[in-house]
Amino acid sequence: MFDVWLSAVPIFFTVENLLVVVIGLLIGITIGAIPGLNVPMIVALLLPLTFYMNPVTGLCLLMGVYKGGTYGGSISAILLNTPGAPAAAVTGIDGYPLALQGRSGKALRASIYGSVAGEFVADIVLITLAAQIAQVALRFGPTEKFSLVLFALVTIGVVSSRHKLKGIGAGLLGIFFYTIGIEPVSAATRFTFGIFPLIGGVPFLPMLIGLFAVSEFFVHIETKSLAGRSDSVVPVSTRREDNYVSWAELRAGARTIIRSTGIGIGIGALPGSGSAISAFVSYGAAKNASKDPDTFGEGSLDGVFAAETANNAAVGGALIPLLTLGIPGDAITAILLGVFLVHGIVPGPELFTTSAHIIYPVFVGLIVANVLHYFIASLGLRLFTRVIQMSRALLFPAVIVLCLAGAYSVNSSIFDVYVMLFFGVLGYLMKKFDFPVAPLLMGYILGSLLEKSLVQALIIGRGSFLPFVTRPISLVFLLLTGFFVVWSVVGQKRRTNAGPR
Amino acid sequence: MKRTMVLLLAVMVAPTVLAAGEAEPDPPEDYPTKSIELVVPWGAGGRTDINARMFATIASNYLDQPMVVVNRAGGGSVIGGQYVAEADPDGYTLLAITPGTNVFPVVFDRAPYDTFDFTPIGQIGSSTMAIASRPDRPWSDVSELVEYAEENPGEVTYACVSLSGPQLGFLRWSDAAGLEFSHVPVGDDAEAVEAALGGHVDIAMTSSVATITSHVNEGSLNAIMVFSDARDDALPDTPTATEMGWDVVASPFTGIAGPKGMPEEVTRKLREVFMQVMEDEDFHTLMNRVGESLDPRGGEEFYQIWVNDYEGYSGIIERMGLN
Repeated sequence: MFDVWLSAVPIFFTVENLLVVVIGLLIGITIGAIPGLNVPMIVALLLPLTFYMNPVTGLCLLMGVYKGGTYGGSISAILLNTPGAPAAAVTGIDGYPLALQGRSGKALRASIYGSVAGEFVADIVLITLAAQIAQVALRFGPTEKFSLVLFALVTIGVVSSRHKLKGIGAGLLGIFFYTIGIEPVSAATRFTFGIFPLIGGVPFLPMLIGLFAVSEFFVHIETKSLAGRSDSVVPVSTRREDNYVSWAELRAGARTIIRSTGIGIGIGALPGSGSAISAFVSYGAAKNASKDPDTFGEGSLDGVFAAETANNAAVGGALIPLLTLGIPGDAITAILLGVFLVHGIVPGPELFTTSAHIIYPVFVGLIVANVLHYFIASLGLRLFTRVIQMSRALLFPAVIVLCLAGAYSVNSSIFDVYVMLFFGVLGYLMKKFDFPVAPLLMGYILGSLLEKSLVQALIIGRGSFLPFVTRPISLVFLLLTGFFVVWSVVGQKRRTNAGPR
Repeated sequence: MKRTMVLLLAVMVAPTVLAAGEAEPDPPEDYPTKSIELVVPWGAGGRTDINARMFATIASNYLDQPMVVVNRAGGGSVIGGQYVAEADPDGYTLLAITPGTNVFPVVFDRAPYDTFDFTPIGQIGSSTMAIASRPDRPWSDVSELVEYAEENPGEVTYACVSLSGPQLGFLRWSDAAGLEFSHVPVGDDAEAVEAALGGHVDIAMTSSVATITSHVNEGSLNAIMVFSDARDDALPDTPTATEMGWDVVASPFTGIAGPKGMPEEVTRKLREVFMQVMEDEDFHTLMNRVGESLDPRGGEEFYQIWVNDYEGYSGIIERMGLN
């Protein structure tokens, strides 16, 4: 075991490999941070480049993009309230209020600490326990997945703090939008209203861009920004304590970071779930465990920690089934699988023996990438806080052009641009009437898993609902779901009884 | 500082605006005079996508114009299929075609295009469909599976994508063998393998042996049968359906096609370049690495494959009342 590492370290440490990790992180963070541009597409564009690189270099480049991209989304989520990646939607719930209070520096730093910590632990777990975790992940059949998804759905109610009912409404609307298109059982079309492109369902990224970025644009139209006027996007405080995370705050957030790392790895390791769901569940868990749940949604540092730690830990988690079983869990790992194959490496049970000379140097690369991630992100922070100090009259038009281009380029379809505009208007109306938007996204993502796992579980169980309570893992999640509901209702009652503070 | 930022933004935005311009079409004899769009009707990173990107990389050398891969995923390859079927047949819009695009019009009567609305350029290769089970199931080979399924009709579950090439292939087999199985719909091959590995379904039906080979080698899955016309090199011990006495051959192809009605010169040029790519050494190296076996077929032969598939699939769909 030890000598594998001994030979892996020199293989990784070449100028070329270090350089591609840095480049990958820079590309990932930048693309992730720009609303409208999406990371899976950049990874796909870089794929042909890696055909001609040696496998370690090629993989390190794309892993860097993957890591940087997952983190980068949080920058625009915090500064502009427009997550650059789906996983960052949760980060914005508390990150943007913090930025509005002038504390964007603090929020950005919290997201760096959370991301790097989550990533680091997840990578260590990936390297040491991947095979064991993969075996546990395999035990999650349709029955278990259904109960888990149900549990995740319940967190929607928890996440939408002040407006529980509106949040649940938004979640249900999201599930409805998912149902449009070809349904998975008999491949019949649903709710397409004769509009042919809808047969493929509501396209995800255009919906995301519309819901978060375009709607924000509409909100800002109302505030009449004029070119030449120097009103910046969010106020930036110059006080030191608003721009740094203090040691005490970090210590207070440590429990959240540890919990979120676990949730991130666990959910990330289940194929098909992904980092957005892990961020949601971890946020819900953090809020329920918090002594001060009312601050969530108003600019809680714990909220930022919970979301960012979990979604980056999920990156390491998602690599577990990819490497040990050859099963990709999301769009990016699907492309990574392609890179492995292009270099004649078959991810799966034999990977760690037949391709040890490649996979261990890549592991070294992952760890090095975490360290570099910290420094690059800290440097980038200065740049990004500069960007938002420019007039919104200039920044937002630029963002909207990128959004249009981004929505179009996913599937090169003008229909997708209309979808983006539709969701932009919808998102604007929701914001206007105090409906939280993030639950809609969550409903959309979870809807597909919910239906598929329910249908599969019922077919396998010959139409019986009994397996949901007789299978232990499933039962645990159902009980957790119940506990979550009761806890948040009772907790809220207790707080209201204690009177307004 | 602020000025620099504004300038930076302007530079970032400019290309998107400039890209909006379009050039005039050129006569077909000069083809190609601008970049060619190769539409992949699946998401980035999948098997078709990777094959197409490799093809495009090499084909660009022979065409003296870049061939650019564009993903138009959605609706199980139908969105991209429709896009190309309706595109100008000038050779600047091509499709990385897989059976999904061809099968769709067979299954849906309201499909916006027809199976034969495309000009075949050539087949790059085909994959071997296979069924696999966990070793703890009561069968270890196909005859035991048949025996078990005969005694317990409808009890054995198999996982694959609904109304996809694999499901139709499976149905053709179960129909020929007179057996009844329960279908568990999944999103893709990987999910089918995951469900079988976890023991949640009895059989994984995948469109390519590549997804199961490493599990078979390690002993966590048994390869039961393949649906190709000959045994697959990766699984030399696994029998084909034909060997076992069922006349079912279904191998999902990957190929290149254009819209129907392309000018003769353009089709000829494309077929010529296609064959050059198939003989290119770099292309062979790349395909070898991903474990794709090349099975190049020219345009006419490729068309015949479509016809055969069409007949096989429409037969089973009619009998099962699936459309």
